Amino acid sequence: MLKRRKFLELAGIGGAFLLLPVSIFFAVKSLEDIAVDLIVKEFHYLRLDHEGVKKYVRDYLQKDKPGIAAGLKWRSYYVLNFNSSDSDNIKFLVTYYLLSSDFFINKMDETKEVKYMGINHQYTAPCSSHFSFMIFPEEAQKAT
Amino acid sequence: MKYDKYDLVIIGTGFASSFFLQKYLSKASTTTKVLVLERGYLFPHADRLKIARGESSEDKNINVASEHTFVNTNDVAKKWIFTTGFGGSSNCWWGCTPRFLPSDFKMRSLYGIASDWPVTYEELEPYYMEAEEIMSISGPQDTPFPRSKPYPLPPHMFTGVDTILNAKYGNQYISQPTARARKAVKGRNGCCASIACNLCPVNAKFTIENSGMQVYDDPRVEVIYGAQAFSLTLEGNTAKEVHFIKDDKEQIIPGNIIALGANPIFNANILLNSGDTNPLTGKGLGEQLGLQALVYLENMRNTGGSTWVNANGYMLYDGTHRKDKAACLIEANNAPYIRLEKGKWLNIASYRMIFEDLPFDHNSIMTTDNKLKPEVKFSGPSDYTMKGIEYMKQKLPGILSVLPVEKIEYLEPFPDEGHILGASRMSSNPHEGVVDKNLIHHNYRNLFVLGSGAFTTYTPSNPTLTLSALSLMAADRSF
Repeated sequence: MLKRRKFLELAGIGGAFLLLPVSIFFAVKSLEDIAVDLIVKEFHYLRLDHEGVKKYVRDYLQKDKPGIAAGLKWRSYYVLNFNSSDSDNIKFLVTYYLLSSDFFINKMDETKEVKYMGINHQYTAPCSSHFSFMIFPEEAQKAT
Repeated sequence: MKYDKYDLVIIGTGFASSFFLQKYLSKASTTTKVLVLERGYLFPHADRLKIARGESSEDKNINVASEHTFVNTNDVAKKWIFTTGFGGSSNCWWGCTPRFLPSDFKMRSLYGIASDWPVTYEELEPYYMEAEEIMSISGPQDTPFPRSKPYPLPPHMFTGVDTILNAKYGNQYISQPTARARKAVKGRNGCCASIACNLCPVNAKFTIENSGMQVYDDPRVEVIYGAQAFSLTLEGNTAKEVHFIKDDKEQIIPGNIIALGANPIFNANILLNSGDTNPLTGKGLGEQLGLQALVYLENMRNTGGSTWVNANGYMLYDGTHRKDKAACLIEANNAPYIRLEKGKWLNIASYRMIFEDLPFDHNSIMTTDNKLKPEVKFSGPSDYTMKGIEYMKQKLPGILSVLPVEKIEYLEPFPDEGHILGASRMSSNPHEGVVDKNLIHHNYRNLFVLGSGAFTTYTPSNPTLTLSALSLMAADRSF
């Protein structure tokens, strides 16, 4: 059975194509600005370092290099006001942002400004998992 | 090759071959001649790390990718993941090393399912100990399987969630025994939970390359790289020669003893290409089935774990339910989890539920026109396994009722568990299997068929420790 999120993605993207003239569709915003907006909207209650978000998005898009089809998808998300609960792509984008920030190093303190640290990567920055005893030593418990 | 004939010709350099060779060499004379045929090459850990970091390495394509080595005609999406080259799948395994339970070896007599293994847990126990020493396994004191000595290294850390479950279930919920070292040992670093264990970023996981076993440096051993065995000369009840190809040239080498230590797909292909007369050779390929259960927690965060799989739960493993539904091993699994809800970021536990399966002859390995490239046919998990999933879904909410559970979400089953089991199964007689309890082919009495192909049934526990212990036992008892 088609999952709700997948159904919304497919139905919504199809709808966006039908409803909007192509020129408007492409004129909406740049891909980079759309991705930044999605992150800012998702974490509207956190204090984000906006320059860091922009840098993250540039690094993220450089890493993934989305093609034309992916570009159309992202524009659809924006037009249709999607968020992470509607799209796996958005969920990955925003989750990966948090993992690439100091949010977990600051033990999820929602009052602190969230700063981008560089794209999260196990091989360039090992031992930095967001849940682990390295970050939460006081919560690691000795097994017997 | 240095010689015209060898005392032992062994195929492959993965766990099965290396542990067999370790024990064999410890008992062999100083003049013994051993030839190892490895289809691939050493691709050093340091160079593989370079690739992972996006740097260049001349060795990038030194070994063929597993998907190009066989014809995959599965009815279901399944890749049969493995690594070719020196050290085999020790280069891509995730280092989970629970032992089997004693009952896993007695499925017929206890539950009326499939067949009993011709070997018991008690017989294998000393070899489990030895394999755990070689791998420097980290593990807890209290386990659901009996042990004659403590693990070599201390266990990994629990999260608060693990601690609650351990308090409730005792040795049915334990820190996972693992080859991801809890602390630095024998040239390996301590695991720091990087969660990329297929290629450990800090070299904490045991591999053949970092094992220190030195069997391939032994002066009695000659290793030929880039040499793929594809057939044997069989005469009467004896295997006489190994046929292999190197640099596009076919060669033949005689051996007094021959040991196949490739993975089950290629061991079977070699046997079938050789005209093996055992009707079960190549039959009964399989593995476990896994799916992820995401457990959303109210007011409790799941932090502090020190490795990939923090714990193993046995609450759904053994019992009379195995008469008609599969056992389930629970892995408290630190696959990156996160909730995108204010204040609930890490209020989630992620469990990989792993179900056993059974060998069925229609899941098989066949030869093709290309003698180097077998065909694999698999029609999916059995009803026995699928019933285990339904049983788990009924029971899991009750089992986790000691936690503040908001909801449980089940993801679709994974297509692969990364294990390849069966196709040369072990039995007490040649009518029910291919090899005997010492991994010697029933029909060819100087031919060992090593590895997880020998498994009689497919317990939910990870196979590597057990197949390594079986190799030690086979060589110890036979020489």
